[in-house]
Amino acid sequence: MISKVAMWTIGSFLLLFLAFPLLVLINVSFTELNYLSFPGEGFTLKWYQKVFEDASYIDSFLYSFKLSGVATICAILIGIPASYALARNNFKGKGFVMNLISSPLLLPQIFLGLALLQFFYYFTNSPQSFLALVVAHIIITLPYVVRTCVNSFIGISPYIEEAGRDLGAGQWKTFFFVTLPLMKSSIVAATLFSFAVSWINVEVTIFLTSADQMALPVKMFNYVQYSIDPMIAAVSAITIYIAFILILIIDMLVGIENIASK
Amino acid sequence: MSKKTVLLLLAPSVLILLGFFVLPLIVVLNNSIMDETGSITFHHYLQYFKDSHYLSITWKSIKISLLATFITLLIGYFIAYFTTRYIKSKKLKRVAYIVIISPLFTSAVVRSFGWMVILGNNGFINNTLLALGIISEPIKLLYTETGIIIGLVYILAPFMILSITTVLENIDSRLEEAASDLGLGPFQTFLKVTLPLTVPGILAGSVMVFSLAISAYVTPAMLSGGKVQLIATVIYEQMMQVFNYQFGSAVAFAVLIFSFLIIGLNHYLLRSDWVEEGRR
Repeated sequence: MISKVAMWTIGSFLLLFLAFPLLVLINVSFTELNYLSFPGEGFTLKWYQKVFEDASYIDSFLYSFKLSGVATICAILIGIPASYALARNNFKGKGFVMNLISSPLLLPQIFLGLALLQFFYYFTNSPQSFLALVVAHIIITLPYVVRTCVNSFIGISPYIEEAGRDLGAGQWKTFFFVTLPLMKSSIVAATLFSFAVSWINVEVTIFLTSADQMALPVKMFNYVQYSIDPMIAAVSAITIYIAFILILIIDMLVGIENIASK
Repeated sequence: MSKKTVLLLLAPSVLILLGFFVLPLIVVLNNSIMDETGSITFHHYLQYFKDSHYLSITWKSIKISLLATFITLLIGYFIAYFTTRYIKSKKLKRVAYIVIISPLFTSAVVRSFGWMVILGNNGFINNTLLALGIISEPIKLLYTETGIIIGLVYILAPFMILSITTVLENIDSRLEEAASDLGLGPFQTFLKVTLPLTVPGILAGSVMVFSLAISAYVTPAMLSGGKVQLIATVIYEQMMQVFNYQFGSAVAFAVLIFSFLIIGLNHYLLRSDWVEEGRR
């Protein structure tokens, strides 16, 4: 009995440890003080107001949003066909392709960042461009898309597709009208997951972001190195809200424990 | 599906990875062993390994990463065990999973920033300890190695938890029941049955956490305020401030080879008998 109480106390304490820094930031983003101190005092929305009045932050938000959106759409468009081919066929070199696609997960991100920086430096005249960032983000999100979609394709019985073809639909028609609709929730989950991975990335992005157009996490990183104030806490809090919304939607669609135990 | 269709479906993904992932890596390797005139040299590697300043940075990075990995393992194992074995209600389990995963959906900048607020001289920990009268002067946490380790543990904990949770969820619960039927107490059951069965998860999680820790740049930079230099900060400086691409590449490659050695060691251990023994 005592051990059970001890387990629950330590367990809840450690889970709180995981949530604590995020809760701290949300708390201090509402503070009436002009400096960062936890717990904050009073309740005000002035820091949020300040964020929304600051054009450079709005710019960064939009830029990051555009970047993650474009990269995610590309990753989904090239990832789904690849997942389908990998889930339905056995062919020579399948292991190689699987390893190739998942290897960006193994490689330290700082390494990918500096590799792409040099690569674009040698082959184009502007290494730090939107295009370079999109390419980098496709590479870091593709493994997540393919992993989620391969598992989901494997879960769909090939007999259902066979039935579609027996009833006269061609291969493509079967794919678009039978298989894809069954994949709907997995695809949405993969999209959101991939968006999140891209949206929060700093390590790769920092190498490829130019000084005049900064992605949000990079802008925040540069900012907190010089000054920390409740306004940047408000910016952080906004990104935390977005994270929670994404997680809740994914949880509703495929169940968070499915993402967790993979 | 015909061979041609398979090829067509895979082509975009494979091409983009070959072009923008494999090729850039070759460029880095090439740069790291080139001198200004374009001939092959190991000068940049030697420059790194002969310099005592860089060597001490390397040891410090390895020490910090190992410590962070070890603490992450203890905390992560506890959370994973608690979540899978003690939380019975489905709803609570879901909440626990959301808590575990939500840090992964916020950027390292935001999470490290949270710790800056907690660890600073006027931060939560110091204020609380001062108010309680435990300390008379703020203890230095932020901008020290301790601060970096706390930050790394926090940032990397979800990876460890998830990798151990996966293994714990897949252990046949009848094994643990059998052990207790045969007279083992709960603690002994854990030591003799559960723990050996989770070794693959422990190894996989530790390798992942270690290689993420040694290459982490953002967290050390923020929590040390640039006061503590680590390998990753050296690489970043060389690339973005000194613009010495050759040297930066060489250091990065050395780190990469080091982490691949560890990943290889892990694969070797996972295949070896004593883990097989545990799985049976």
